[in-house]
Amino acid sequence: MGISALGYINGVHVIPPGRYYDKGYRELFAEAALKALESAGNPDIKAIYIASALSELTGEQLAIGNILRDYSGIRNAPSIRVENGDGSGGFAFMVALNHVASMNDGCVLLVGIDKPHEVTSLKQNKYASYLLDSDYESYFGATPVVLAALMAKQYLKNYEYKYEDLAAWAIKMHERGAKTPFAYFKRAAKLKDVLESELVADPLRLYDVSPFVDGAAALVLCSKPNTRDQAVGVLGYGFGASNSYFASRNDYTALMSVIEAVKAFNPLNDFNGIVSVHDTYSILGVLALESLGLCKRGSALRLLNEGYFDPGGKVMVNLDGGLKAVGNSMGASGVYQLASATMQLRGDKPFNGLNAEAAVVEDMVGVDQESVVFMLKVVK
Amino acid sequence: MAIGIVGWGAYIPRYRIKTREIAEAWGDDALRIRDMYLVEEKAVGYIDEDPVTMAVEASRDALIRAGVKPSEVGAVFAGTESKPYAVKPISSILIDALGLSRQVYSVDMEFACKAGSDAVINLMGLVKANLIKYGIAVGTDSSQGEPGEHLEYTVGTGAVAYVIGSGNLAAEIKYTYPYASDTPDFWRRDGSPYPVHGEGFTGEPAYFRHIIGAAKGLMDELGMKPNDFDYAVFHQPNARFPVRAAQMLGFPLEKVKPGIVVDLIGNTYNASALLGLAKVLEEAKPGAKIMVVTFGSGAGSNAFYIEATDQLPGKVKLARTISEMLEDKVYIDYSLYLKYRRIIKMIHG
Amino acid sequence: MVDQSLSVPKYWRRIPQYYRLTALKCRKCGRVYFPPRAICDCGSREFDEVELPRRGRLIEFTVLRSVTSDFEKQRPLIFGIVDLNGVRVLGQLVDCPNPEKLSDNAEVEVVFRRVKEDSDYGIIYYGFKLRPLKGCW
Repeated sequence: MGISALGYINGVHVIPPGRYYDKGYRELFAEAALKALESAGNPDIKAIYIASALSELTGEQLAIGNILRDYSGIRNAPSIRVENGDGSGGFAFMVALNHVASMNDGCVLLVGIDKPHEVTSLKQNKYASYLLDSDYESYFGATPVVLAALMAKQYLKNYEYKYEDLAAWAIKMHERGAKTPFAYFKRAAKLKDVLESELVADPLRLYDVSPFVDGAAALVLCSKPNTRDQAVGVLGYGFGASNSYFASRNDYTALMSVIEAVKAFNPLNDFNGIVSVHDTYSILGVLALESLGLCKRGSALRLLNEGYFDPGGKVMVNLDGGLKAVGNSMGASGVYQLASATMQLRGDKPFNGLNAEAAVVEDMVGVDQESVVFMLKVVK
Repeated sequence: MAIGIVGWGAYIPRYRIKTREIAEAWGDDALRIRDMYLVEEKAVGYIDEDPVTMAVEASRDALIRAGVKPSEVGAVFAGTESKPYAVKPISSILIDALGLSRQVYSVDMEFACKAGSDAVINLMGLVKANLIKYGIAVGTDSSQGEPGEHLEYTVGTGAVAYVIGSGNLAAEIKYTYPYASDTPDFWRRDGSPYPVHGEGFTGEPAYFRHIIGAAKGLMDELGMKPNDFDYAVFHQPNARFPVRAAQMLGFPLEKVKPGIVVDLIGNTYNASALLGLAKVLEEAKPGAKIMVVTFGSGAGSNAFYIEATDQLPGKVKLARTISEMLEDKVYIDYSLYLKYRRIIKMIHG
Repeated sequence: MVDQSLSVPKYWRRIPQYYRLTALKCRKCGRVYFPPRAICDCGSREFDEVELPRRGRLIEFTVLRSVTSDFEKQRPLIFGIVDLNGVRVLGQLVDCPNPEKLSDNAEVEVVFRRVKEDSDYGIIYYGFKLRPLKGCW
């Protein structure tokens, strides 16, 4: 073992995201948690980290930890809920990682879980608006898509792209999602579908917006690798933040929190492997690629259309179809990304034959509030 | 001590609906409707506009024209008959929206369409008594007209505000004269969404008796005649009434026409005659003598004798003018009118 | 009592910002913050209150069609970023039926409008909005 990692992802399980009208937070939690533990060989758990943005808003439940634990029969480990909006997953993982890094030998369980479909779409929009500054932005009715749309408009204008160029994101994500067993959208989309979809906030259309989904994804994170499998280790992470008040940002075409977060690593311009970006909106996926330093400012959309980020290439982006195809499970979305990246590195079907060694996983809170970026690597 | 108007501001929403459009929706003869009221179109506040928001807009411009700092204002009175809250004042919202001090006499006043002018008179008294230096009087309304009923053709939306004080006057208010009685020509019961009126009864025993009574009383006490005035401005529920009041009093058409705005924005209730005055102030020369007679159902009138000062012309361009606002317009159809005025009955929102 | 779904104190304490765009100006370096902050980027914690100007220029806008529950009957909503003498503010654009006709850097004025209301029985929430002077109808 030449590489020393902060921790190792020894087990994962994801629930196919959807609209689980027949299941509550506890049922989804139990299914994801128990199967992830099983896949890690049922180790002792020192703590349960729960990443959730909506448990009190849509689940009407505070102190959800003990409810979920009791239902799942997981005893003798404290539960810690982490809320940081739709970036809860990544931030909970960061905390869990620090926990296992401080242990000699031990494991923690991380479950990302959210159920936006407990409420109607107007309420979902309202809760999503809480990702903005509640006093000064969502008070006036602004939602994350407003900010993403303003960024998209500026980006397309500044770099002289057409909307059709941006539509490639949705088309490619749907194409990938069609092959992902746990994707919410499992059908391909044509340019015509994207262009004729409803405008949500110009220029962004329905196809530019990741769909709200109920979901739960679980990871077992340990201080030592599971020797039974090809282990995936977390080499490091970086954190970054941007101005909380959107209008006050200097640049509407870059994700400052990502630019900051990625400084934790050597520049990624020569990175070779898997990349997972938090594409709640198409434009945020595109901008993340640039802000991660994987390509030059203004070039991501051109490279995307040229196939530079396709499977089989040097930089393979969102092989599972991203949030666009897998779905936006809010607080759980980052855990889906991390679990999916682990499966991709391990070469689980249908991700076999990629032979990727490393993965960069970017999770973001709202529209460029805070970001955390992880470097995952196969440890043989 | 000369007391009068230090500054004024008006607000007319951007949206308009033609009375023809309303007549078509209800199967009325549009030409006959126009002939009855001489109202071509009326101003429609957007879905987020109400007497509070319009009062803020008008008052901000009034302070700019007055050149008065918010901290110098000692009273703010709002005259309206379409308060968004049955209980909770407009005037207190004005205090914070305008950034006034906390030491401000503030109250909302109601006397149908007359209260805005009562606010002016009350402020004159406070200024004269040296209790305040400046006060803001507001007339603001986005009143109600039951769909399919004739009030719908004329009910408009608008606001006007006057800073009253005793220095730097744009116009001096030289005399006032009231005329009021119990005359139930138009009313809205508590909790009722739309006013009810007595059709023709709103005319002779109500509007005309009180307007003429106040105007004649003012002239008698001052020993003045219509010839002594350059302008006459009357409350304008439609464009016919003020013209006929002028004829009855012996004012020629050209003295009453400059103060008529109802034909283009509808009846703005508490803003009505005071908006007419604001329009006259935009063209009046120093020394011009203006008679203003307001009217509120129920019923009463206040007559004013106002004289323009040398400072008036210099203040006109300091803020948005009525001439500009009359041109700044976007027409909407009847369905948008129903939406913007929140007439569509909704369970929520 | 009628259930109040929105908070009154949460609104009330922000009235200076909602009504008059009250910002903070750093006494040391002069930088103006809207919304207010406890500490300036220069490190100073001493500020004076200033009101932002009521005229400015539009930087960018979008038309939101998928609104939140509080704004269902007001859709669509137009959101714009405006520059008010160097301070950028996000707000709703109103009285603008054809925003696609807006020119770059269109001139806007700050106006006072209703923002939302807590059903037919709760309070009415007021605040600033942005109104293009011309060019969008």
